[in-house]
Amino acid sequence: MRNKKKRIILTILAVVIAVILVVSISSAARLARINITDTSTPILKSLRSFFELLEKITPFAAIEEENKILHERVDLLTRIQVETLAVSDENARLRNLLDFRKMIPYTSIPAQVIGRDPSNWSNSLIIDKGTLSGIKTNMAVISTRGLVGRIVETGKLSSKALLITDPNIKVGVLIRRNRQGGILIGMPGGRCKIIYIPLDSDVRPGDKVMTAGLGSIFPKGILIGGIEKVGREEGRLYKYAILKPSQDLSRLEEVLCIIR
Amino acid sequence: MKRPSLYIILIAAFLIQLLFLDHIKIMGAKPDLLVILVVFFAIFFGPGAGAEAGFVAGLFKDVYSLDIFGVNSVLLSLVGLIVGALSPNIFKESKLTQGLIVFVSSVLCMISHYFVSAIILKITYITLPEYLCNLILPSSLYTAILSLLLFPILISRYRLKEIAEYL
Repeated sequence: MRNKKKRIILTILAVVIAVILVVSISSAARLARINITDTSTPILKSLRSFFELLEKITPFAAIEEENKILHERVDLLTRIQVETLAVSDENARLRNLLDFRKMIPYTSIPAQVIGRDPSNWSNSLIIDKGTLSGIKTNMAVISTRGLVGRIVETGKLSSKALLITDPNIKVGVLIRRNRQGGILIGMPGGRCKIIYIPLDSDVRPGDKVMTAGLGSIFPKGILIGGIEKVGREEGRLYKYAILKPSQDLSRLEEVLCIIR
Repeated sequence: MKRPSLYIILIAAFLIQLLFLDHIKIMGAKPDLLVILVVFFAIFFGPGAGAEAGFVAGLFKDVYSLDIFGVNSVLLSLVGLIVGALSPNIFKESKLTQGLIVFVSSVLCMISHYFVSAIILKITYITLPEYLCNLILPSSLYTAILSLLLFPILISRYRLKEIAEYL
């Protein structure tokens, strides 16, 4: 049975080889081969072009990879540069604060601003120093550019300072040019209002305003800002002035809490 | 709506408000992300979710600000409750309606806040018109404009367009 199968296979193989040999030497077979080759030429050309393109693209791919790596390095270096600049800025600010701290005649505790009032209504700062660092309520808070506010709430590790732009704050002030006194209160919109200015006093826009030193919270002579507008309250026997703080309180990063 | 999702979004918005929002103040006015979220939850998820979001958002504000404690929780809860109760009668898909609701909610919330502060703290030096011009109207307008950008993101986040009952 097995021999019979072997014989059949060998016969088929022999027939196939014979047919191939016969076909390959005949002219018809050659013509068929040429036609097939001709027909397949465009396909082969396309394939060749495709492979040539691939060969051309391969170096670009390498360049692209290199380009990507270089871009990443540029990004990294840019980030490092920005971070260095930020550190440098912070360094300059802290040095400024330190110089200022040495200049002022009060003992002070430096602190960093770590949060701001989430409410639209009140204006306050959260600082990173609390009772453990010696912060107490009613300490005056200043910056290198002037008065910031006063400490209202203290925790062990953080405190909240009420800003001079909060309506709940009251500060006794003096107008530097003519020593005219008044009471400063905070106003919505980042401004302050000085009330109780006598009607006959000479107050002009541009006048600088500083703390009067009345009471026990704010030391005398700390700059607060400049007067923007002067007006008269209807039905009241005094004038008022709108004051622009000497600094943008929404961008403060470091402050000093004064120990008196 | 899953509760953790509400709290995560409120906490994220609160942190942004606490840490970054002062940097985008325009003429002393800053937007209120928490009001936007409270109105959003109230409009799309009803008075219960609105009041809950309002209470939580208000509590965050109360804890971290120097405001009268509790006033924000109460006012924002009321905003959530009222807007949520009115929401079935509102054409929610309209951006104009959404912005207008945020604006009106913010204005009413801040005017109520003024009266509460005036009664409790007895602040009489600054009048309501001064507050309106310098704080209430600019902040509310800013908040409403920001809500036009945030509402589509929130609607897409919660896939509300795929849930017919919400729109």
